[in-house]
Amino acid sequence: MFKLILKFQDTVLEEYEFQTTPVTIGRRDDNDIVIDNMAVSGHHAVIEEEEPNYYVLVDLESLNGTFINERKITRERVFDGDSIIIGKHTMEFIDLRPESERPVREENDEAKKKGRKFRDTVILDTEAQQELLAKQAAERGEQAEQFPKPKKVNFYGSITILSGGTPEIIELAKRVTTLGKSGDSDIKCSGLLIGKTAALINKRPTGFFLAYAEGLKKPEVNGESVTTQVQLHDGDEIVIGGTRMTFNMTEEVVEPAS
Amino acid sequence: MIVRMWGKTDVGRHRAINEDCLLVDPELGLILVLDGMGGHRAGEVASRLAMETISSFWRKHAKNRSSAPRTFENYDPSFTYEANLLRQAAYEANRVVIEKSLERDDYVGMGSTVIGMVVTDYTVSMVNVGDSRMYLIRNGTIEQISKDHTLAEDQVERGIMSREEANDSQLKHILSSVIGVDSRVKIHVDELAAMPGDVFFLCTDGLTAVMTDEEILAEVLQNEPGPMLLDRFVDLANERGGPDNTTVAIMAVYEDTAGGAEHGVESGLPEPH
Repeated sequence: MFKLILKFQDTVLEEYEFQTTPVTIGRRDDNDIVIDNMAVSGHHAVIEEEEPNYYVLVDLESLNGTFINERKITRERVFDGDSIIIGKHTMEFIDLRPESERPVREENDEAKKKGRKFRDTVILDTEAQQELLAKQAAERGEQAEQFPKPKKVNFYGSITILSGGTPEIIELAKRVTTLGKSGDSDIKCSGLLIGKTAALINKRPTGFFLAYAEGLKKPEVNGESVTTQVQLHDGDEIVIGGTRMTFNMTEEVVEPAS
Repeated sequence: MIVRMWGKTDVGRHRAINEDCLLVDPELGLILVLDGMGGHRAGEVASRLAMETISSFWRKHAKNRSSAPRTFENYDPSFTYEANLLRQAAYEANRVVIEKSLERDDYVGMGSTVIGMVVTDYTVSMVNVGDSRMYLIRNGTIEQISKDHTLAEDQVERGIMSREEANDSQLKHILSSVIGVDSRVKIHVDELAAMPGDVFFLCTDGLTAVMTDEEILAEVLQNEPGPMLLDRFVDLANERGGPDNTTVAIMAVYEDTAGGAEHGVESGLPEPH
């Protein structure tokens, strides 16, 4: 049992009391708590229960994030007196169970971590890591420029169905795109002797690769039958059974952030 | 396509206990390799707990999408459901190990690396945290699929250090991400189309501390994948001093010569540990 006090810039808008969970929060009408503001996602967050007696606030991949005591969270236990921020609104969380039944936050969490020791492989927490990296970078000074930062190349690929299927352009957004007869295939192909999964296109750091999977009739790239895998190039023609398509690719070189 | 998988873990020459953990489950098509760390026996606790959390999470949700966790942390539609599930399992493990580490003073700061790999149909999905590694050996070449979460690797990415320097740097022993320490754990995810002839090789740093990528490749090319090859890797690590626990696992992909499109899995039994 808990209470939420919804506020906007210190003005109390509403008080809610709940006996059970889940309690959903969002802009849409089907939420338990509706906050009508564009900074709030349709389904923004939910409060759930966790064994033995915790309440947990879960961010539902909202655009602007969910915060407990000014810290961005994805899924975090929430305790009596905590302040939740959603969009531009705040909510005070009040645990209404008797004091003996409510959990309290372990405040010594961070302090405890500082006392750890390791023999060889070491783990650093994020703050310590950033400090160390900054220090290292400063020590290196101009030297740092000697090493070219590995350039990142983004590849964007697409398949255009020319014949033997619904004419359309399919973006290759997935790491692994399946092509075949199966209804589950990302790209449907037709033909008697081709496999349910006839081929797969795999997006790798160096580009796109087409691999044969199954079926008596093998996929063809530019007229050559593919028995293992081939790297795809812009403009390649792919034939799987009775389906003809072309592969197109653009590259974008991303300069690493300094 | 048929896959076969094997695994082996060994305490090495210098350690009293094995803090590595290994799971090879052909039914689920799942392999987990973990390297625990922390004082006393805490490393063992961390890696085992992470392994059990990930495998039970996987068992619960993999075959039954309707029971899927309602909230994925950062569901990424460019990956399969399986890859997202594996990543969510790693988040769960992170949470569980952090909570456990607060229970007892000797558990404080314990953590574990993890490599998780699943094969479904023709797709291999993987996640990794820390410096345990996964390689793909294909067409006579070796490619590291996992990402090292070490400060040395971070320095290379930032252009502060060259690749060669990083290999000799002490910073390669400092992990920048690990299961069980920080709720903001970094998890690397990747997916590959598997083909007959592929060998997926997973190991902890007990092996990579004493063997180069090229040496690993040479061993895999000269020997048939199987329990004997795993024994050979463990023996090599021990011959070279066996400084740490060593865990190795292999998944080999074969053509289904029966001609069917069915997907089968076979396995050798992993060594008890």
